[in-house]
Amino acid sequence: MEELGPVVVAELYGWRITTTVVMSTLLTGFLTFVSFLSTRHLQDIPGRLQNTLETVVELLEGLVEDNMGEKGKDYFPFIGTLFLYILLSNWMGAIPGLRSPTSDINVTVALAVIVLLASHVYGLSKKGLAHFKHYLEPMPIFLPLNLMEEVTKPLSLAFRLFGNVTGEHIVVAVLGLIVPLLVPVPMSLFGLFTGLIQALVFTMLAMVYITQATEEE
Amino acid sequence: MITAKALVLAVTILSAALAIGLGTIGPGLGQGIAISRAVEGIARQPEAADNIRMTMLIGIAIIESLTIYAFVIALVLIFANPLLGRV
Repeated sequence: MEELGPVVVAELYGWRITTTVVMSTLLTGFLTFVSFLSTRHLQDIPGRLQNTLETVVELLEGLVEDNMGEKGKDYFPFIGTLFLYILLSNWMGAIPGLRSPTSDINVTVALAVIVLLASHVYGLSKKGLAHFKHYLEPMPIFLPLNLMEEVTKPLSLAFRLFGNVTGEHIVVAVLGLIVPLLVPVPMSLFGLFTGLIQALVFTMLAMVYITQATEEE
Repeated sequence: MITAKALVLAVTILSAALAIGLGTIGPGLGQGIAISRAVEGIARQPEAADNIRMTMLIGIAIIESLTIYAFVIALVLIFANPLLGRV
């Protein structure tokens, strides 16, 4: 059974380069490269690549608008990037030799902290210091509970993504140990489905948190 | 003669298994209820099927995270046991 968690592959000036860093860089490079290729020569009648990317962007835009309304357009770049990164990194684990960056808990915690910070930044830029008033609602006595929520929100986001992706990998690996031929394939396919759902849930919750932080009373 | 380390290991394995076993009961029941209601809703209003299916999937994934917490605890116990260093 392959090792669980990130493996250190190199050391650079005291920085440990793990497989997660390599895979994550690969993925980011791939996304950047494809986006660059498809938008280099934008055409009125889109070619194959441009058409694909346009469909993806339109689907995501529809998703954001369904959940956040018209003003969701401001947050679309953030949400869209988050979704594409999580989706592709979930799916990456299905390719032999590659590992999902999201099966490393450091990555998912980082993503959750980014979402938390983004919701605060958006809230502050939208409402100013009145943003912090929501800690005292519905009553000032709820302050400790509201503060605790600040910890549990990113924690549950991070653990949900990490646990789902890692659990899927472990199930496929264990099945592969018992019956290496064909039997793990349906489970692997199911993994693609849960990867999509988890990416959707993560971005959906990110949208909910941002909406909560920016909505006016 | 049972050493302290062996005892900690045995209890760890048992508790990891229990964490998963007990942790799946509640979310299993909850997901069952959620799915049955969604199916009822779709049967009553087939035109709202897409909407209901989407909401159900999101809800189920969120319920599922409860099991995932138990799973993470089990993973920590098995792969990164914090108690073994104490004995």
